[in-house]
Amino acid sequence: MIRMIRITISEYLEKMWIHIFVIAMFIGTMLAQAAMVREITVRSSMYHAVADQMDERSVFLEMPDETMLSEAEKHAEVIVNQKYFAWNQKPDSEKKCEQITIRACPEKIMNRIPLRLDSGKRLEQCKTDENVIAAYIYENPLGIKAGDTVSFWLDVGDGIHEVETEFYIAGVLSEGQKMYGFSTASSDMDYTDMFEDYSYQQYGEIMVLTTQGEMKKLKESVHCAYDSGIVKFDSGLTDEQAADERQKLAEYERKQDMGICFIEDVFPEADLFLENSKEHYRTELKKYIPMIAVILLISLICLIGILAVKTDMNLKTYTVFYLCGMKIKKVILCSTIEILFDLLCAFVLSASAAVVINRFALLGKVNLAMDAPTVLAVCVYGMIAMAGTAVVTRTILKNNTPVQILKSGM
Amino acid sequence: MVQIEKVSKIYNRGKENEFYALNQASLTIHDGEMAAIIGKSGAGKSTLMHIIGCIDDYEEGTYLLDGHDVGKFSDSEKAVVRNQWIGIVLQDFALLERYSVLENILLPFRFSPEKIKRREQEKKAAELLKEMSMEHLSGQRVNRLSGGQKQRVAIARAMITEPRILLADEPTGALDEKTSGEIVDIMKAMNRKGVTVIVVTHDSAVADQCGRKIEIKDGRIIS
Repeated sequence: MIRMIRITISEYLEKMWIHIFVIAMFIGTMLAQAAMVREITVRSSMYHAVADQMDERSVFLEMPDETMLSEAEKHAEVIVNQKYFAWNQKPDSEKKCEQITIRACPEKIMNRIPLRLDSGKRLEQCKTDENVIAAYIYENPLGIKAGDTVSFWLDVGDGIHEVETEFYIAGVLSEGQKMYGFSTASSDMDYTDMFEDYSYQQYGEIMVLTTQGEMKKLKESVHCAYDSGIVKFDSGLTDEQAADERQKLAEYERKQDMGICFIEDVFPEADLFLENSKEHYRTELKKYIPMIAVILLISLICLIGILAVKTDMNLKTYTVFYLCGMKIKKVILCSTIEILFDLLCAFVLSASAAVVINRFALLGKVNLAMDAPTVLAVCVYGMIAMAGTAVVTRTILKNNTPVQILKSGM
Repeated sequence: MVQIEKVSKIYNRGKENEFYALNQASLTIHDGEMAAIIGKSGAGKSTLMHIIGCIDDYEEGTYLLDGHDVGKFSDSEKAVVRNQWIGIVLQDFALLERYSVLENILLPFRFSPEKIKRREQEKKAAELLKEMSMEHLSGQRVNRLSGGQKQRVAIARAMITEPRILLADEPTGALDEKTSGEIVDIMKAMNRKGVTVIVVTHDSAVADQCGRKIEIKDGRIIS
């Protein structure tokens, strides 16, 4: 086995230029696949993140207060956004301070949404002290970047005090990265309206994004506002009981004189919302069919090209080896190991290229992160390439004598 | 000893265009013989050679190599035959052009079942190159050699593991008359050392120098 690997490595290095060509083709294919998978994953995860938190009896809460939430949580699971207000330094200091909005999303949503980061990494990949809150930040005029640990003064809520809290900035979100929060409230809304685009350029607000779990690290009680709530009544409740609970929430909303009763007037019924969402999701996916077809076709053409080049360049060498006593199985193994090297090199370079492309937005809003679904797609492609190499090599060797192969210039 | 009993090689078996490249061919070549397999183009010479060299399969008959039934050999055992028992030389040399003369000659050692020290390998290669009067070209890349030199390298490579049989398929087909003579002389020298030499050729001048001629026609051995 060691001898086979040595032979393969020496042959690989001998034909480095061909392998560079093969690797380049693989990189192109992998990046195209990454873009395709990413686009589909983003849509899919946004849809499922919302749809999985709801059923036909669910209701929306635009801006509930704590009392309303407590009432809702008695008989339901509620997900809601938290919004904290803070400053980059103590507000009574003489220096000008910038206001910062800290949005704490429910983990159930946050952990499922692929994020486009200009730099840094995801919160789940960070280990912070128990008194340091890990968070993302959008582009900001304070020059805060990924990896920084910064202090913000959070408004406690009494109008007098602020509490200084350390934040570790795990990553900088790309401009336009969507975050959970109702962007519009209308009777024909769907899951896409549950996510807002944000950019500093557009809103001029310094925005920090984190999870509610991270905000639990706060040692003191700090005031926060709530928005974008979804109530999913317990499955143990009958439809009548759920309707009663829904009525109670509507009444409460009315009593608070919020102007509009969101539960009853503005938001669609949950079943209509879910139907709209499903329809929109299907339409979105259908838009990707031509792109998927083109990318699969390109991948296939590249693969055939790669196999043709490799067969042309490799088979003569391995046929000579075969004449000298190499076993067919080892010929196939060597060819397959070679393509495995190519695939590994291409994967590493594609992942690096994806980082560079994202960092400098070389493909505009297209994100090329090598996340789990992308890696899975690339692995499947890699296995097809390896199996293709093995099958083509075996078929040619079985159906042609070495003399025919050498004479035909294969 | 090579014993072929009623061996047939059939293409497209059972179909309308069924074709017998070899048809019930029987043949015995004893140890130490130098035999020429002759016949017109398409007669089945190369097919016979490929079967003897374990680089092609056959559908019917028996092939015994030193008493062993080759038909029962696995791919691995056939690989050992090509590496240890039979040295193969082809018309187009089958050399790796970007390798040096020495590297080409030592190739079979990469696949030999026994591990032989590099120094010993080079010593054997040096002896063979000396016999071929090519010792000064050991480090030369093969793509810089003439046709005759390439064929000598191919013979040296075929003989490096000291096989008992040298199988040559049109070894002089790509060479001029003078160089062909030199290659035949080298093969005769190998035969004098006890190696069984089987040459497939359509060149009567080459065949005349072999101790025995085996003629093949339409896949059948006729003499």
